[in-house]
Amino acid sequence: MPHYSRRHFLRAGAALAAPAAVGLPLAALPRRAAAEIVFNPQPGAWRTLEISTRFEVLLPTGTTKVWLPVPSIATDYQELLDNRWSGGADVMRLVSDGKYGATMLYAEFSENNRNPVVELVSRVRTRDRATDFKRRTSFKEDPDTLKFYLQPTDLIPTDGIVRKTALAITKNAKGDEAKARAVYEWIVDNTFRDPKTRGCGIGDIKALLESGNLGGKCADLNALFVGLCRAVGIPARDLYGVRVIKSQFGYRSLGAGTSAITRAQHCRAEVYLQAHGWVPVDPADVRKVVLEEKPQPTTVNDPLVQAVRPKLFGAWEMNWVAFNCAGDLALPGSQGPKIGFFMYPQAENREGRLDSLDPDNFKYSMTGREITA
Amino acid sequence: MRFSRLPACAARAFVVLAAACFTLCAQAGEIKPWKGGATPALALPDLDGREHTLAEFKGRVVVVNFWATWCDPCRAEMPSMQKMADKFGADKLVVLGINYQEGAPRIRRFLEQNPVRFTILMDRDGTATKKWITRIFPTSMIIGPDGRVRHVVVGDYEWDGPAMDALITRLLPKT
Repeated sequence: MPHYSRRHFLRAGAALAAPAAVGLPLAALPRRAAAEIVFNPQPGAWRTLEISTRFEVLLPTGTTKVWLPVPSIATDYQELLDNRWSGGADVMRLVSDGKYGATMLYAEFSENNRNPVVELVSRVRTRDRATDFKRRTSFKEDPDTLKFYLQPTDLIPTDGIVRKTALAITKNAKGDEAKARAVYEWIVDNTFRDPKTRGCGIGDIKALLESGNLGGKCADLNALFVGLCRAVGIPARDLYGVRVIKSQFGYRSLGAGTSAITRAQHCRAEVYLQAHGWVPVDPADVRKVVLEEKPQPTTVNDPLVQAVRPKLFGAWEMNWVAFNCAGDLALPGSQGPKIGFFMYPQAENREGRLDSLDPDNFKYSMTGREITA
Repeated sequence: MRFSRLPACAARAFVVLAAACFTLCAQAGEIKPWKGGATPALALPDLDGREHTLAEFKGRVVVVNFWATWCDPCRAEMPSMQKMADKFGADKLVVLGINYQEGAPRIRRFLEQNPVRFTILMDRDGTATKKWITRIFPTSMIIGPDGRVRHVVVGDYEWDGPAMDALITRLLPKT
């Protein structure tokens, strides 16, 4: 999330230097033995995940319209089982944006509605993903689809500073895989996860690059991957979703800590490589491991980070559910402007859009669980 | 003192790093001439729902400051912005703080902890901000009494310092 400050950089510099300055005993930090560190998602058994979203009108102000994201991605790693909804809304129905196929539950409440609540429960099957880079796929994506995922969006332009940066990063790389890997490594090496970024970030990659402050969260860092790839002619897309359960590989930072997942939204990226089809990537999660997995200071050279870095170019653990890959989305039935991406519940009333990153005042809550029986 | 135990090489690294950061970011708060053309329209509600437009402040210098509660540099520069407003007085200078896409409850909580008296407007869907600036926060536009944008400041700035005093004084009508 771009902000720009002399003070900020001074603090960042101090923060980088401080642990060394006080001689923090690295050996005393809790850590797993190198042999115990495994992060290796592989396609295997399917698991069933359930996401429940509850919305309540907190302050009735004219008609309140609500859009709740529904898992809309159906592939060889995710299948929607069903959606159920209930509540006292005057209108409740599934709608789609018509461009990206992003499905959502639309609910509408009149000002005098006496039961202003809607609850949505979605059940999804998922299994981990891993790309075998030693084998070519026979899958060929539709050329129009590939062309579509080269297009710029409001938040992901592909010209100007984005193209200039992408060309510099990939100048020595030959072929789409080498270029995509160069972009991935550059993001891991040059950005950082900024814990103060609100939500998952704005995702405005031009502002990110122009500010020179390459800090952000998944919507910033993975959007940067998408934009830099598109800028050099490699189709790529963001997928917006939510972490539902903890990581089976023991990474606290790569899973939902509890069943309360109201603030567990996470987006990932895919890049289309001629030899391998759509390849899952997540450089933002590498930076998340750097920041959150163990007490600071942690660098990309830490064994915990080194275990995930090569894997997150090509593999995803599917303890996460994808909602959609929509950008510049016009909410069906809304009078307001398009949204940059659709990862959080959205609502508007007579006074305009509600703050989707303030769930307590919005008001919504989400829970997630694995159904094992 | 804990720093005295710092190895010499680490101490040197810290000094070099801090100096590099200072050099890199000193440009952040620079005042630059505005080259973006005509002044975009602005019509946004304050925290009580009253709509404000730029036209109502014609004849005064207006500083339009784009900010957000999560933005530390925004918070850092707000006190100096208030001091500047107090120094010139409301008949000469108006500060409009345009909050980016946050709700009134969150903004009110922020202002309880970071009190300012200048007008806060809410850009709930981000449309106004997008018309004015690249989404880098804070960014401030300095508008002359004739309603034309004259200068832009990207990054935080010491608004109550002599450089800003001189600039605003130059923009004000001669009496």
